[in-house]
Amino acid sequence: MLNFTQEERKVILFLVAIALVGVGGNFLIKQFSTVKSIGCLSQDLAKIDLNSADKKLLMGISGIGEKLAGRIIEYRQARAGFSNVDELKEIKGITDSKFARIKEYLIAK
Amino acid sequence: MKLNLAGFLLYLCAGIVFTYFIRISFWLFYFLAFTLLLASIFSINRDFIFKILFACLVFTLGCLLLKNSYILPQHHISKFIFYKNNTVYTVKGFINSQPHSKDGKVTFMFTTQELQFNDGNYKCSGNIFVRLQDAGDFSYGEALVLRGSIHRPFKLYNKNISAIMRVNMPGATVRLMKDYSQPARKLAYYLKARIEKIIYQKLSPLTAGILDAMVLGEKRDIPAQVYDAMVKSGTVHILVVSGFNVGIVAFMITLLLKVLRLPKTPRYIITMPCLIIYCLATGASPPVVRATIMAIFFLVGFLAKREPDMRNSLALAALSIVLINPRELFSISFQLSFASVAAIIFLYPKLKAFFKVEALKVRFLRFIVEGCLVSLSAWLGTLGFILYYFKVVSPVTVLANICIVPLATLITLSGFSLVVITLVFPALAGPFAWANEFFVALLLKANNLLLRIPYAYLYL
Repeated sequence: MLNFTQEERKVILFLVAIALVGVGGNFLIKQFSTVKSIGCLSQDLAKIDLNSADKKLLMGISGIGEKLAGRIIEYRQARAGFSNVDELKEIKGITDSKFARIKEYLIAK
Repeated sequence: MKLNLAGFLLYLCAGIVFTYFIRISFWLFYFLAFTLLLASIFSINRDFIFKILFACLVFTLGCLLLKNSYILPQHHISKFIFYKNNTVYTVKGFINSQPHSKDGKVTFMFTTQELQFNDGNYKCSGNIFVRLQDAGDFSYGEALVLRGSIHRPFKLYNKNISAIMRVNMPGATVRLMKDYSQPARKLAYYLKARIEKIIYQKLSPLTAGILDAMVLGEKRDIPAQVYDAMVKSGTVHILVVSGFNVGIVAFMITLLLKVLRLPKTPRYIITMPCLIIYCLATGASPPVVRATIMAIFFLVGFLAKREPDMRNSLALAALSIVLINPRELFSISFQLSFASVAAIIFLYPKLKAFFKVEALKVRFLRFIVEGCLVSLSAWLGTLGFILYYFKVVSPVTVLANICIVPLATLITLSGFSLVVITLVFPALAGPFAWANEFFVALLLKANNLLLRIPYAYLYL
């Protein structure tokens, strides 16, 4: 094993040296990488609009059942829509903890 | 025959295993590696000293490779996931595998690019596994924005999956009109989808599930009882795409090109990219990568008019996998695949000489004995791993493989024939589909029969 000829030794040492530089460089990049804050993703992206969502879509959110979804739609019809998500707290069945859980999925446009 | 690559692999793997069990300082070992490199350069003319220094250098390189694979950049997705939290994340990225739909759920690998949580936006990297509650038709390379919960996986760390995301609402997925797909992988997934469609259209669900596993490596539709029965008889390797399947694909492609009267050299040149496409289509698991590299090594050896050495081609295949992801060394599929092939390469000739197989005059009998010895070598090679991982001993394995492997070859060949015939003459697909149904039924019956033999398998 490892019975390299002179030429093979030179080539393999060169390749191992390159591999070592590569591993070291990659380690350095990872070690000194920083978290970059950006402003590309819109805060509204992939959120459900309270003013247009139907019952089925609202029921897709964990914590909203059939009854609660019905109450949200009734509230929306009675008040001609939501002006902001905080209005959800006025609906019977939405406690502070439930509101904290579901607000991340909702938006009022 | 020189075993340089095998030696290189052995020392590299020793370094990886060492670092797996013992915590090391990256910079200390990096300094050591450079010192050893310089010492190797200066002692290049001294045979014995060079060998020792070079072996130490390769060992240190193995240590550094594994240590480096553990380090994640600060912007890696797993750095943003907390152990216990109800944070809702919005992730932008693209689908990095073929999406699978089942029971209204879609699953795929997702390469992340941007992340939003707690009102902050960050650049990020790394792959996550996504489970989407959506009946939508997604495709590889498609850019998406997903909103849902993310948690750490327990068992998928070695597979380069650092997190699992659940998206439970249909409205929490936004499709962006961008495509990040690579042409070769896109073609591979397209072909895979076409083949799967044919298999599921023409065959009953059970036969289609088994054929899908044998031809394309998709195990999701194999009933648990069938899988369990195959594990007990030690023939489960036929239900995953392995070197066996790659060999059959290579054989079929070369045969097809031979029918088209193509000379040997272009035939072998065309076979190589076809094997790579097949490897990509089946998810490039370690056994397939190993078999593909070994097959290409063999074909290149033929083109260069050189006798390929199976031991070095096996070492090259292992090196290619380990250099890309050193953690694969600890995966079951890697260990079983390489242990079985290494046992066939190293142990089988010794067993053949020990039992004096060449002395057998009847050709058919010699063929049967050789088959038994190949199966016995593979069983002995993988026995330790099977005992450790599955806690089962299957003395019936050798006999089972003698009966099941020819049947599996027949199923794979007839499965590929069914696909080709359906594409060319759809009206003639019927008899091929019936043949597949028959062979699969025979395979299951034979396996169940073998398991009824007393002490066919024993649980530890």
